[in-house]
Amino acid sequence: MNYSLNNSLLSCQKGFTVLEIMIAVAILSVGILGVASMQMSAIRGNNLSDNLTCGLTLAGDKMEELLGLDYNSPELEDTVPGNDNDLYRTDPGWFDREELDVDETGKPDAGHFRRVWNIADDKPIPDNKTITVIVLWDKNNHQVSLTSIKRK
Amino acid sequence: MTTVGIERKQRGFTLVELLIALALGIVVLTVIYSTFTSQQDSYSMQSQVTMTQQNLRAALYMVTRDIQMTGYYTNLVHSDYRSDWDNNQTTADVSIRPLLYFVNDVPENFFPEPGIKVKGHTDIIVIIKAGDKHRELDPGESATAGDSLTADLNLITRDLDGDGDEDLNYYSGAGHSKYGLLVKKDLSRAEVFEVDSSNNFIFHSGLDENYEEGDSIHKLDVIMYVIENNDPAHPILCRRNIGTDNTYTEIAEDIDNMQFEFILNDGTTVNNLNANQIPLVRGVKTYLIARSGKEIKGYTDPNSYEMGTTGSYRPADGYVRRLLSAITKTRNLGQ
Repeated sequence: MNYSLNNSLLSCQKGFTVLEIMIAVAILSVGILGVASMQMSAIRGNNLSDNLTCGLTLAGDKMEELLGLDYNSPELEDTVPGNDNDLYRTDPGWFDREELDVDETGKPDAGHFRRVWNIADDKPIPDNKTITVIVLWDKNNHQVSLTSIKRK
Repeated sequence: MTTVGIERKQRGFTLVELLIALALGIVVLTVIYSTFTSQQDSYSMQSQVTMTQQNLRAALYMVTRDIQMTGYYTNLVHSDYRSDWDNNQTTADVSIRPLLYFVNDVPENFFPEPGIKVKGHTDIIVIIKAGDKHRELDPGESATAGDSLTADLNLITRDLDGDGDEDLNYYSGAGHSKYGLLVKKDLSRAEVFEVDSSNNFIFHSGLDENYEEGDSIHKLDVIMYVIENNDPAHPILCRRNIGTDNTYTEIAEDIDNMQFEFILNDGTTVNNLNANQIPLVRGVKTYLIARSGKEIKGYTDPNSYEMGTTGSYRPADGYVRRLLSAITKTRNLGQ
């Protein structure tokens, strides 16, 4: 009686098997990978905000330059009147002007920003130009834009 | 009999079992630890990057906003107006009509002791504009055109905003102004004067016009931006209104470099200004570099920061950096 009781008790006190440990480690590593992906998203977030800041500054620079020009300056010519109702277009044939591969200080052919600007003559009222500057990066996947109005 | 049976069944782990368990445990712990340290490194790096970007954005915003205001409400005639615009107490500086003053690549000991140490090879800019405190001249108040220094300015009170406090007093407390400005009613002309340590009004270039009732008198803001390097581990971008107080206000920490270039009326860009170019300035391009608060272990900055005509900057140390630049059109400079 005593013997069989002890025997059954002891047989209950088993350790983990290797298989169980392996499964536990696998689950743990999935969890750790999850934490690592959080870091990756933090890095991506910081990178995006860096590009946003640079892009917005570049757009502001161009806007500052365009607003300082003479109203009839060739830089402010509405070369594509077809986009006047949607000045946010950046696809080929539908924007007025662009600069490619601008870096964060505005130098051309040195960075990864594309800068597009669109002009609409006599919008929103006659003798006014609406100007939109759009800065794109990451293969045109991200963009910021600024819009302003210049009086004659 | 029964006790013998129990003793035989209650065995401990064997040495081999223990070693295997330990080895497995160590493998798991090593993985956890190395994950933790790499996450920790990544976290501290990213928080430094965030801080750097925030500092840079705030700093550039402040500097460009002030540059935009350069020359506000002033239509000055003298191109050679001399005053100690940077307050380094060594030279009478000629400023840009006198709306903008600029020192290129300053040495560290630019300011006399006890002053602040400037970060070497950075630029200093001084922005001059009419201040917020002003009033019209009352009947009986006038200024008479005269020779240099001795031009006559009669004021019933030196209070500009009616709060009973005398604003045009030399550094006697916060808010008191070292510089003032007289503006003609029709805005055709404005002239700067200085309040000296005996509280006399000094007209360095002489007064050209007579001023009377209806013309206005302003406080003059003389705003300087400088990178203070008293603690070389943390260079700080400081703003100081020389016209109003003695203190440097900290704008942003860990600003590594500040350079300016000037856009002239024909569109050319210059790093430094000669006397002929001074009246031709129409815009300012500001370059700012912010860096992390501490050096990152195992990191060497591989970048060379190109800042237009002001040259490139290649520190190659353990700080993470961000460069940002902005063009500001100086709306009030030039016609």
